[in-house]
Amino acid sequence: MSLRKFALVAVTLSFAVPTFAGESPFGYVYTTDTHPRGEREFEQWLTRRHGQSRGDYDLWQARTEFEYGITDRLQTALYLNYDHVSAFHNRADGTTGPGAFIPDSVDPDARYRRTFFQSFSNEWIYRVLSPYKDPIGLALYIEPTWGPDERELETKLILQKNFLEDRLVWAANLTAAAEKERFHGDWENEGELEFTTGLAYQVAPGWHAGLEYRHHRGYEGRGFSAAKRVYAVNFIGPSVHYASRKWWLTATFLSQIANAKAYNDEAREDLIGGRFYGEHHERNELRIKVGFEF
Amino acid sequence: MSHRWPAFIAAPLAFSIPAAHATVYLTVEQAQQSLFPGASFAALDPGRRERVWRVSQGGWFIVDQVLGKRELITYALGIDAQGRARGIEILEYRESHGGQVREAAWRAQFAGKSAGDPLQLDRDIRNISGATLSCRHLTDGVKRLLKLYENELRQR
Repeated sequence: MSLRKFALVAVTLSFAVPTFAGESPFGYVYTTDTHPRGEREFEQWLTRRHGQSRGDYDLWQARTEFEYGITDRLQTALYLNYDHVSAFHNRADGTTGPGAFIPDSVDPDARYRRTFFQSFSNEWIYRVLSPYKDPIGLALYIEPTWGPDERELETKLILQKNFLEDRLVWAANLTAAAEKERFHGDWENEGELEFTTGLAYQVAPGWHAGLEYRHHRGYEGRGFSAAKRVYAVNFIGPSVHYASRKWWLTATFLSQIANAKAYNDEAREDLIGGRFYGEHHERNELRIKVGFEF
Repeated sequence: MSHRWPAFIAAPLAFSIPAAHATVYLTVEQAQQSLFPGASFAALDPGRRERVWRVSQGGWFIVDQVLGKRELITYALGIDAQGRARGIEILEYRESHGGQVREAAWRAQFAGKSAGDPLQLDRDIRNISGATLSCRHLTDGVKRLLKLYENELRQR
């Protein structure tokens, strides 16, 4: 499937369903809002992960999601995750792949393109405290993911505090994920820890402008001990959010900061110019999310 | 490859730009007559944030705005000659949730409240799921206007 067709599928899915809310002013950081009981929302995510150490690299990640409020505090969501990758001479040595989503058998001197189904996810969020009624908002999140080459269990602790009569929103997420990934034909255990945080200010009715930060650490095997660390990567960038009565849109651009760390020889091969390009990390990420109520 | 990027996002944006529309439920005059039927109103201090009218029957009529989750909510509070809330009216409400704030039963919770009452969400004012921010800001707004009466209008 070409990128054009991939885009058409993603966009068609976005607008085939009437939709709506529960949105965050951030592209990456979750807030503690959940849907009221019985409410449904449709969301379409598109993330463009662009640029490795050289050559061309584009990974388009799409998520099509349905959310449902089971109670006023508990919501669930189903995600369909599908991707399109295009790479040419993207490796540090000037060849094409292999790497994440690019097989070993790739021609090192040809452009590689592939559109593929990645996985299904089932997200659950339980709001313990409301940022509008309690001193701080708190929510718990768990999301199992299943795919042909991936099994993952992701958990999050979500915090939110509002200031200035709720015009200024601060949120932070601490994420731990255990996953099995089929890489080069073999299943490998991996772990990830992530800290994301963001500030967004309501600059006009319906409009938020913000800043997001993402710290991402990878571990090999099971557990999160220092001996198993593989990399540590930081991203930062602006976000903008618009919400009307029936739909909303959030866009966030994150750029990798040139202070990444690699902790083993294999990871060090992907550390170039202070940025880490292994294990699904690129130089820049742009995420757009659209949500609709129905 | 990167040249195709603008087209990729252009479609969602193009579909997503229907203009937000204001939802006006009551004019100021309609809200005045709803809270003080048959009365006449004299505007006060045109420079201030709140729009305040003295009511011919005694009491005050105030129009103010608070922030909902996304948009401003325009509401009116009627205060009787003894400083008690006579009622509130919702003039403009554009939020996706919480349209129930316009219902008589929800608005009636404010009737009889005065500046000395705590006026707290989930205690004396019922919350509406999915519209907590609107409910809290309206509750805080009414409380602030009752204080305005107590500290300033009462002496006039």
